[in-house]
Amino acid sequence: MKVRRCEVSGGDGRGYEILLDAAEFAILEDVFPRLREILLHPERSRKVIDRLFPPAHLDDAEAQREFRRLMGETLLQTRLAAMAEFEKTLARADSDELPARLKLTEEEANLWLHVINDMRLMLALELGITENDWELDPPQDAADVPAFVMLLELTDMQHHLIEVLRRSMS
Amino acid sequence: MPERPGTLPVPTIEEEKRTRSSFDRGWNVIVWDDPVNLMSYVVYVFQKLFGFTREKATFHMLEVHHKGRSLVATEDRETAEYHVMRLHGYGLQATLERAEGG
Repeated sequence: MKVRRCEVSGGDGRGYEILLDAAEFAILEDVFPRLREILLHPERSRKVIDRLFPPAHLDDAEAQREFRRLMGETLLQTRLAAMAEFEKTLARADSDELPARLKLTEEEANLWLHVINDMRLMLALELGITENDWELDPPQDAADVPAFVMLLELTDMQHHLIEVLRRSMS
Repeated sequence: MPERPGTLPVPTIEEEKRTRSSFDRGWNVIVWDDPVNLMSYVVYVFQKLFGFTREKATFHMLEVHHKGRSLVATEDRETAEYHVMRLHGYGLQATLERAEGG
């Protein structure tokens, strides 16, 4: 993924041009719907849901129930809205001509960061990652290698996006 | 307002405010270490959500990384829960707990 600042018509005029190569485009199209399915059907992966909606109160079950009651739906709807926006923006990319190219407003770029991070968290859970230096420790099981490679790619995409978004903060 | 004999003195408005304020700001927002979230991402989220300078955001990120947790804000309960919800929205592991004396 290549990211550079550019002018856009929406928002405050500040935006970003994103270039996605074939592999990156394919990964987003593959991982994104899986994450959305889990959010829409939490029973399909309780551990992903538990990671995306972790407890706020560790030692107070009653307070945690109250937090979930008050904030849980808001957090879920925020995530689903971010995903719907992500899907819309991804559809703007022309994948017939590679690298796929699209422009994002500041707000859309921030949503991409959210969604890409959620996708990374999902893959990391599926791979059972628990250590900080996971990037140096590829899976032994060949069946896990594609997910590991996707996680590395998404990490790289997120890194590029953060670098550019961060520069626009300062 | 005259003070009636035989009753406790009515606290002044100023005293009430101070008591309420010290009680309300008694919740710590804690961010916990996570093996997946990038360091640069955590710094970005701290800057974005709390308006931290890059230096302060980096300090808290490193505290999370090395000590396993960092206290990033102390607020009234409602605000602390709102911060935690937003941190969860960004995929960070965050909890709140009563501050000492809170």
